[in-house]
Amino acid sequence: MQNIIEINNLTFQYDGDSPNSSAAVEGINLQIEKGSFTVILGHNGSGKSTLAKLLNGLLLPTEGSVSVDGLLTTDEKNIFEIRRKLGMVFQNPDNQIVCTVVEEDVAFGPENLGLEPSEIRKRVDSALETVDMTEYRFAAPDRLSGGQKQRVALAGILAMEPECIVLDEPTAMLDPKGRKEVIETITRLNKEKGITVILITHFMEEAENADRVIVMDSGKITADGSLFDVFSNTGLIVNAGLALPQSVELLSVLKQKGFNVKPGYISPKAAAKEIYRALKGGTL
Amino acid sequence: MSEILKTEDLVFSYNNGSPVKRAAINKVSFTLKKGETLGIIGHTGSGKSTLVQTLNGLIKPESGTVFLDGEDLWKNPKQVYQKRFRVGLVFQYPEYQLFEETVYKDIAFGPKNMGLSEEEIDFRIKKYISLLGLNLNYLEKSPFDLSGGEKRRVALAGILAMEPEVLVLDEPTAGLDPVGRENLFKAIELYKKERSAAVIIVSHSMEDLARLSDKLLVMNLGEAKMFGTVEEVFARYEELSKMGLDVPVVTKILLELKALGLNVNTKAFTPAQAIKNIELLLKEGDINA
Amino acid sequence: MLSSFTLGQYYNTTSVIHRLDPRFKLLQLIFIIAFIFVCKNFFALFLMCALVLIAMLLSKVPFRMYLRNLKVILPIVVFTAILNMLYVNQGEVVLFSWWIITVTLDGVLKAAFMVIRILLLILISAVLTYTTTPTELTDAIESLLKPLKFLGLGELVHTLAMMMTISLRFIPTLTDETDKIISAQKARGADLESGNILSKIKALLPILIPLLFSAIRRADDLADAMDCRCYSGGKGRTRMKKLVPGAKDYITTTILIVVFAAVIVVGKVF
Repeated sequence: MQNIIEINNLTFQYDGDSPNSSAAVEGINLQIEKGSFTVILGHNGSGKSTLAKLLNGLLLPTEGSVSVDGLLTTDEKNIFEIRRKLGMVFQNPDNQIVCTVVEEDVAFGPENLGLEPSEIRKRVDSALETVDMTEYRFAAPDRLSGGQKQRVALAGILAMEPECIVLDEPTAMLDPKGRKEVIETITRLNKEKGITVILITHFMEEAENADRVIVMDSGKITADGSLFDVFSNTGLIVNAGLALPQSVELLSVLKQKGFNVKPGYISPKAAAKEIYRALKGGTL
Repeated sequence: MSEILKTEDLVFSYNNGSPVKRAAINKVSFTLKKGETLGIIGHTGSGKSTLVQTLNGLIKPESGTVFLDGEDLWKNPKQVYQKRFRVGLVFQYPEYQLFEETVYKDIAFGPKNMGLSEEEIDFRIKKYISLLGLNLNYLEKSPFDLSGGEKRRVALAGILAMEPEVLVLDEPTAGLDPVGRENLFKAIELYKKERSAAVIIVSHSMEDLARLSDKLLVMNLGEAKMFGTVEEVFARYEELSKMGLDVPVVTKILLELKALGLNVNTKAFTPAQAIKNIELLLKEGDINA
Repeated sequence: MLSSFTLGQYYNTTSVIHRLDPRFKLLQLIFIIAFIFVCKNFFALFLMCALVLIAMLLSKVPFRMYLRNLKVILPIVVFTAILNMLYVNQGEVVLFSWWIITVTLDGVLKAAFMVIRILLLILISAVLTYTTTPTELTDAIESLLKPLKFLGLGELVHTLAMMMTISLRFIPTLTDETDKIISAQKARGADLESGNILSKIKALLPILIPLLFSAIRRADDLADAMDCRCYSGGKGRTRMKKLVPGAKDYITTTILIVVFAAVIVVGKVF
C-alpha cells in the first residue's frame, strides 16, 4: 500500500520564551498508509496536537520533514494542495465554523478553492448527506448541539474532497451522544469512502475501530501497533498518562489472576465474550 | 449525620410567560447529608445545569424550596448572595473565568467578597493551592501562563477557599486527560474529608460516578426520574437504557455474561467488584445459570 | 438574560419577499425609507402605509412577530408623540390646557404623523431583516460595493464582508459565554449591582477580562480552521450562491417606482 504521509526525523520546538520550551515533538519517524484508520493517543501536552499541526503546514518543522502525498510542507507553493488533501477538524466545535448558515459554512472551503458554483453546490449537498446533516442545512450553527457542529465541521472538510482527515480531539468537548455521533461518522468515512483517518484523542475507547494505535509521550512515539499489541502492555499505557478503558482494565486484572484472556477488547459485548470463552474453556 | 441540603418540588421554566415556555426542571426533590457525595446523571438539556444553579440561588425557582441546613434559601431574598459562599458552585470549564494578574489574587476573589481578613485569606490561599497539588511558587504566576489542567485546579482552589459546606461541580473533568482527572478527584475527596462537606458532581461518566458517589440522581426531560444509592439506581439498568443512559462498563459486561447464560451476580459497578463476582462464580462451581 | 437577545431575526419561511435578490431588497428598503420622509401629508403617508402593509402580508411573517419589534421601541414612540404634542403649540383648536401645558389639534396631528413615520420605518426594516439572512445581507453589501474594485479596493470590500460574517457568526456564541461568565463570577460572590459608577466599572473586570481572553482564543482557533480550509482572502475565491436578479426583482422595483411617483404627486396636489 502507498503511504499518504511520510514523516522523517521530525523535531519541532516552540519559541524559547514560551512555557513549553522543550521540544514538543522530537525525532519522529512515521508513515501513514492510504486508507488506514490510525489513532494517536497521548495525554495533554504529549505533543500530539503539535504533531497534527505539523501535518498540514500550520506549523513547520524545526528539523526533519513532513510530506503529504509526496508534497513537502516546507515548500510554500504546495501548501494549498496539502491542505486540500489533508483536512483537519479541531477540538472546539464553536471555533471552526465561519459562516452563519450551515450550508454556507460547508461551502467555505470549496469557495476558497475557486470552484464553479454548480460544482460547489454538488459537493455541499453530498457532504451534508454523508454526515447526515441535510435537514439542518439552513440552520444557524449556534443552535446545533456539539456533535452536530462537529459533523458540520467534518462536512466542510469533506466538501474539499480530501484524501486524509486529521481530527484533533474532536470529541473532548462533547457529551456521550455527540461523541458517538462523531466517532460513527468518521468510522463510516474510513470504511465506506476509503478516506484515511488520523484520530488524535486521549479517550482510549475511541481506538476500537482503529487499524493502528500510536501512543505519544513527551513528544516521542512510545508505542505503535495493533490495538491488541498496544493495549496488552498496560504498564506502558499507565506510564504514558492514559487510562485503560474499564473493559480492558477488567480483562488485564483477570489475566494477571491466571485467566486465559487477551486484554484488547473494548466493547462490553466483546469483552464479555472473551471472558465467557476463558471460563468455558476451563483453562484455569 | 444531618441533612445539609434538601430540595422540595423545584420548578423552573425558561421563557416563562411566553408561548414557548419550557420546563427546565419540574418537581425535583432530593436530600443530601454532610459528608455525602451525590452524582447527577442526565443528557445535555435534561435540566442538570439549571438544577445546580438553583442550589446556590443563582436561579430562583418558580415554586418549590431549597433548604440549606434546614433553612429556606430564599427566606430573606436580600441574603441569598451570602448563601453562594456556603454552596460553592464550580461551573463547566471554570478555567475560563480566571481574570486576575496572579494566581494568588484570583483565588482571593471569592474570599475577599466574603469579607474575610487579609490573614485569613492568605492562609486559605496557601492551604488550598497545596491541597490541589500545586506548589506555592505558582501563586505569583499569571493564571494565563498555566497549562489547561493547572488552570482548572486554580479555578477550583478559588471556590474551595470560600470553604463551602456544599461543593457543586458541573462536569468538573470535561476536557481533562486521565492524569488531570485523577488529580482533580483526589483534591475533591481530600476537601470533602477535611471539611466533612457534601459534594454534588454532575457527570456523563458512569464509571466515575460509580466510584465516587454515595447516591445518584437521574434527570430526564427536567424530571428527577430516580434518586437512590448507586446500587439501587444502576440496578434499574433497563429503565436507564430506555432514557438513553448507560450503566458502568463493568456492569454491562456482567449483564452480557448473564445473557450468555452464566449465573453471575450483576451487582458490580467498579472493576474490583466485578472481578470479585467473576471469581465467586468459579468458586461456586456451577457457572451456568 | 443576554441570550434572549437575537441579532439578525431571520424568520424561516418561503415568500416572494424572501426570494427577492437581497441587493434589490436592500436598495428598495433605502428608497422606501427615503420616501417615508418625503411624504408631505397624510394622503402620501397613507400610500406608504399601504405599501408597507402589503410588504408585510407578502412576507408571510406572522403579525405578532412584527408587533414584538414595535414593543421594543414603544418608549421611543411615546416619547416622540409627547414631545411633538407639547412642542407644537400653534393652531386654534385647543384640546387641552393645564398650567403651561397646551395641547392643540395641530400638535396631535403632528404627533400622529411622526409616530406613523417611525412605525413604518421600523416595520419596513423588519420586513427586510425577517426575510433576509444576515449572510445574504453581507453578500448584498459586498456585491453592491463591487464597483469599488476599480479603485483598487476589492480586497478591502471582501475583508469587510468577511469581518461582518464572522461577527454575525460569533455574536451569539459570545453573548452565551458572557452569560456563563457572569453566573460563574456571581457564584464567587461578585457583586454586579450595588455601588457607585467607579466600583461598578471595577466589578465588570472579572467579566470583561475572561471574555477578552476567550475572544482571542477563539480568534486563534478560527484562524487555524480558516487556514486549513485554504482561505487566502478574496482573490481567486468563488461563491456557491451567485446573486442573479429575476423577474420578481424587476417587477417589484417597477411597482415601487409607481408608488413613489404617486407619493410625489399626492404630496403636491393636496
